[in-house]
Amino acid sequence: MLLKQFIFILLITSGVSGQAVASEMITIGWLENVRIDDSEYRLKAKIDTGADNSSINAEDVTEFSKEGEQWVKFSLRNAWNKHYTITKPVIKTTRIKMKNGNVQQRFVIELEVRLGKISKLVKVNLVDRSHFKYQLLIGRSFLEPQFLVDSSRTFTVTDK
Amino acid sequence: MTKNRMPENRILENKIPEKAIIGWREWVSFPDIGIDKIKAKVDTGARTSALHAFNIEQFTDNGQQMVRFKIHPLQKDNDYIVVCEAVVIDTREVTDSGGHCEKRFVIETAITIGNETFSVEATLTDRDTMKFRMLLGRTALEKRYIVDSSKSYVLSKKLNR
Repeated sequence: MLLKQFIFILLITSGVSGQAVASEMITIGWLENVRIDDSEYRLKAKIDTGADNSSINAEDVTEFSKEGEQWVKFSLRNAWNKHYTITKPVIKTTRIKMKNGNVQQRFVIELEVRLGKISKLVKVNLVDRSHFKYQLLIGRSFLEPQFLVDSSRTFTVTDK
Repeated sequence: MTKNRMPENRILENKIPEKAIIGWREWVSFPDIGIDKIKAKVDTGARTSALHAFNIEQFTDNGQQMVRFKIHPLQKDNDYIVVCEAVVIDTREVTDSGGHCEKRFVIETAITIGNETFSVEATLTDRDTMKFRMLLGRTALEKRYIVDSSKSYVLSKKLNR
């Protein structure tokens, strides 16, 4: 068991998982557990090569002004029904055209997302994903330089 | 020496299935339904593959459930239409990225990506707000490909020229 774990970590740290692919690229599954903002708060994330950017299911979104800047406070709820409150400055507000033709307004914030040993500051759209199974969707802007996605695998990365 | 090496190699091959790198966009073709060039978005966020079709009509041929549909394979050319016919293997409830549930026909047909041709299942949808006319989902990808989302047209450069 220990040996298995050691080999797994070795594979992850050497940037090669399962096979010889482009050097220093990490192969991950289409579902992974990530941590938010240096905390121990865990979210199940869907890794989506079809999405440009990342988005997160934000509940109780309240906008407020702080020293002339636009801020937002919202709540996350993960698959284990635990809540986590985040307060962040708004980087921008985007208008997203939905597949049904409707236009939605979304706040964009910057979030530190940690996947295994790699942590990245990533722009995240605040959306209502309450009708979806996964609260966080990770798009190409997060994945681009380091990660390859193997859609036959899930939860390949551990941060232990 | 060589005798000893042989089994080792075989074990290694069994353990490590060879998967090709695919970009997040690729030019693909569907030889059996007459689509020789369509741009596909390689989408690990979707389970099933989808084709953007219109005028979808069901019919029966020798007791077999069939579907006839039209496709605009090229994003910027709506005058170019391909009429396709395929066997319906299923009808399925599909939820799109906007959370909308829709009943769709599922067809099975051959797809060619680069030098490889294999069978793929795809649902037909007439949502014309789809930017890409083809989405390649996880089921089609899982046995053969690993997605590099920093690249496009990794396997289909030759087709693109």
